[in-house]
Amino acid sequence: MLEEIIEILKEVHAEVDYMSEDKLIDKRIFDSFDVVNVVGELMDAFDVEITAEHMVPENFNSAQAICKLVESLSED
Amino acid sequence: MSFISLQFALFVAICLVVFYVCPKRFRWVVLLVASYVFYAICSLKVIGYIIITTATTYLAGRMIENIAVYQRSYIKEHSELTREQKKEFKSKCKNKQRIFLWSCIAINIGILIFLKYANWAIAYYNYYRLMWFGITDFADSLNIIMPLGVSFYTFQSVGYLSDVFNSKIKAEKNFFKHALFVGFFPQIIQGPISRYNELADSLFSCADFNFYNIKSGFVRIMWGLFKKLVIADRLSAFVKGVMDLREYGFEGYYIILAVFFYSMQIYGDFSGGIDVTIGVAEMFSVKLTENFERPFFSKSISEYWRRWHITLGTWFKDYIFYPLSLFKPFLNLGKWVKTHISEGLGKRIPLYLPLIIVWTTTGMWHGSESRYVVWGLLNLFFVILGTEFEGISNKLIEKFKINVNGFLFKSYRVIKTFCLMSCLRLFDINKNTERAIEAFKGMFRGFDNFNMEEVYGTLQLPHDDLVVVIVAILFLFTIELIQRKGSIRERIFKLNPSLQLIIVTLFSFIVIVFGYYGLGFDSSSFIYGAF
Amino acid sequence: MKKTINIIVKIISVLIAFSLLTMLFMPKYIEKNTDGRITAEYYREKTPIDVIIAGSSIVHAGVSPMTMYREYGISAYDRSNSSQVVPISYAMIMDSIKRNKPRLVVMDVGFLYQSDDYVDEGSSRKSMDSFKWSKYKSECIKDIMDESESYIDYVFPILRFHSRWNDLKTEDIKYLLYKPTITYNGQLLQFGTDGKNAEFNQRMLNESVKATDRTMNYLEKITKGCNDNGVNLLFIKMPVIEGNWNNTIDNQIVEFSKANNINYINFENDFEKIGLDKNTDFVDGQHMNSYGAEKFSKYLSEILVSEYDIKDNRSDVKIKAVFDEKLSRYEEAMKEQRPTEPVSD
Repeated sequence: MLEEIIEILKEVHAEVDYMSEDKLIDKRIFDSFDVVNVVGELMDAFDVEITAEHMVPENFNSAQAICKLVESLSED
Repeated sequence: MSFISLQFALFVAICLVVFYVCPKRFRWVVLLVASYVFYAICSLKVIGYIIITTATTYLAGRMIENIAVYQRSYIKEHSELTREQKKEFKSKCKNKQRIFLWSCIAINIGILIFLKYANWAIAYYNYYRLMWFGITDFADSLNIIMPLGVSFYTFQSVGYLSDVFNSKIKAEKNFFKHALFVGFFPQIIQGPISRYNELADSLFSCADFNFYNIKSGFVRIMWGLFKKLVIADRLSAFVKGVMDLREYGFEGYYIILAVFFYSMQIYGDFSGGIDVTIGVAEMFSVKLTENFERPFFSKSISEYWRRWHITLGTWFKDYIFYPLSLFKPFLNLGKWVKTHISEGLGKRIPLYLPLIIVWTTTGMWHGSESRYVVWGLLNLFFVILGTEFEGISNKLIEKFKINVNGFLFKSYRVIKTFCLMSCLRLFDINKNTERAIEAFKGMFRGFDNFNMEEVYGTLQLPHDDLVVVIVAILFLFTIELIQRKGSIRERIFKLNPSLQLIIVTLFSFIVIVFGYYGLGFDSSSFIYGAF
Repeated sequence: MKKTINIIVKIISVLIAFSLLTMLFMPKYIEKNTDGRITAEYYREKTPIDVIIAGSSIVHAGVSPMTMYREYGISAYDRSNSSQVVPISYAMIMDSIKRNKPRLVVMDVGFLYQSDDYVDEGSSRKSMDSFKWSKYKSECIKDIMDESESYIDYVFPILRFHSRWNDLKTEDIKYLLYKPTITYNGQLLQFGTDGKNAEFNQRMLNESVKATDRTMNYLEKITKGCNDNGVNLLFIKMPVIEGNWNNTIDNQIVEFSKANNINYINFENDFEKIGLDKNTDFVDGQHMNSYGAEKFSKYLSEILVSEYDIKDNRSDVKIKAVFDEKLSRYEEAMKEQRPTEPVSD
């Protein structure tokens, strides 16, 4: 799943090393537009429902965090 | 009671003494009492509104939390439930929570809309009845008194409720603490719009007395007063003069100067006021969120909006933009367009549709006239322009081998952003859209008419004041440049205590002397020759 | 202990710096607007003052305490200022009574035509800036402020005068700490003779103008203040060529004086008795010059001595020493015709 997510992220910002980067939001690599783009793609790709309550920086700071978020959502 | 007055200073001083004399666990009560005394002094007649907002958001918050607690314990007790049943139960609970959330939001935003737009709506109602049906018996406008800080405390409370709903925070149990969170007096007039999770700790825990907080807060206040009194207030007559007298030949350089000065004025006024707010809060050892981050050094419009009135921007992002961009109908529309019309457009719909709503409301928040909507949408236009052309500009940068991190290119982007934002403010200083557009056109003509004597005389910016304001602006920018490398206050407070005292005293004297307040000194009124 | 001292030293240093800043920005009233020094110099008086003369600029132009001393040994002081309003007269009279109980208060009533809303911020400032704090000062300020002023500006004058930053002159540095005495017990010397151009018209005020209720109220307060403290009160109307005066107000004063058993002497028609000549003794239609002042003061002193039993201080060595020094300064200035108030525009 992580690879798939990184594929999605690469579409937005290709230059980032997603395996190591863990401050995507804090460093403003992703702005709010990028987050919305990514969220849209994630919802399509993994058929999960991301809502406003998940929109906190901790959930989007790294590919791993996003992966965790998607996993927890698909469990429900 | 004005924020910038000796009465307010006296009020704060008294509160500080009471605050630190009181035992620690009662200190937040002192703040609550002070906040309500302050509110009563400023806005007693309409104090009911803030109480309604406090009560409704408190109750709704409690109810939403109770439902969440009930939901968790129910699921724990009924381990026999299937996954489907659990899901169904959860969504049932969520729906109940939603009822509380939305009815509470409806009440509070409803009050805000009523207060802000009722008279505007009546005016339009009258206008269209006259235009379409020729009816001349106009409906009377309402005698509305705006409660102090209504949009700030409403936004803050709604944000709080939304955070409770999204389980980002736990609802406040103590009604009076909640009342303090909503009505904390330093931030009631002009924000910043605080988040519960960021404010609650320092607001309720009340640290021990530490002189550092007092002096640091004092310097922050003085810095704010410098921006407001020395710069902003000195410029307001000039800016207003140019815009009012534009038809009488005050175009070209006059408008360019006015636009530049208005940027300085509004920044000095707003961020200076926020400095006072944050400084006062700091004296009570309460840490408020920063609302400005040297916005005039932004390299793009979207960056500018992340650094100007930060708490309003993040409020709109978190509570309007994100929820709307995750709003099902928008997502579905996006999907439909993606498959049926164009992928690019489909991708943009969940992004741009919410943005249009965000910027329209941001505009409307700034004022009820249509020019503010135009202003908001123009901002959006430039934000989108920036994003859409990012690819092209990146290619150009590559092609011409421009050093993106070089001083020249950075300066170019900073100046470009500053000029653009300054021009957009024409909508703020002109009575309507037409006048704003005319003023914009005026920037490019009538250069021959410029005469410094008019600036000194008719436009009420005498030579000496012009010199002071220019020096002050240069000083402001210098300080902000130094601030990039960390807090100046902290550096000052590392110096020898006597030196600290000298610096702080001198700076205060500068504010006292060069502040633009009180009666002007007209020595002729003192040279009353005829006895 | 050391820490406490350190803190106290710091607080005192800041206060001193703040006072210096205030002093720098406050108008000095020495090279210009010299009537602003009359109040301050009153507090410098080391000898008892037996007679206080309150009123507007007509008083500090036309009443010469130096002459009164030279001729009759009267120790007097002009507690007047330009455009004095009656609340200020009251404050000055009460301040004098509390500080240095005089035997007699003389009040020129010539300015009592003023309406209640008449204020002149410059004049208020000139009389109040150096006025020592008391409840009289505080009440007076509240009464004479116009809407644009605020009380706090009188407590911290820097808030009012900070905007003089581009108007500071060498005078402000020169007289920052020390200000020479420039008045002659309140009198400002002048030598112009433009009175010759004025026509006699002593009651040119429309008869419909009355002394207001507030004015009469203050006269009552002044009367009560003097009575309660056993100080005599005398109303006078100074001689003028042309004046904002009418029969209505004059009658009001006459009646008030009768009712309160106060003497009221109107000098309007006493030009000959006094020896005043409009061609040589007036700077303009209203204000005597210092020659006129000498004549008038002599005449006034005679009345004071005969009617109010005012002491001759010339035999008191201490008082004599003080006054002799002042007199020599006065006489030198008179000889050189050196005005205290530079020629105004």
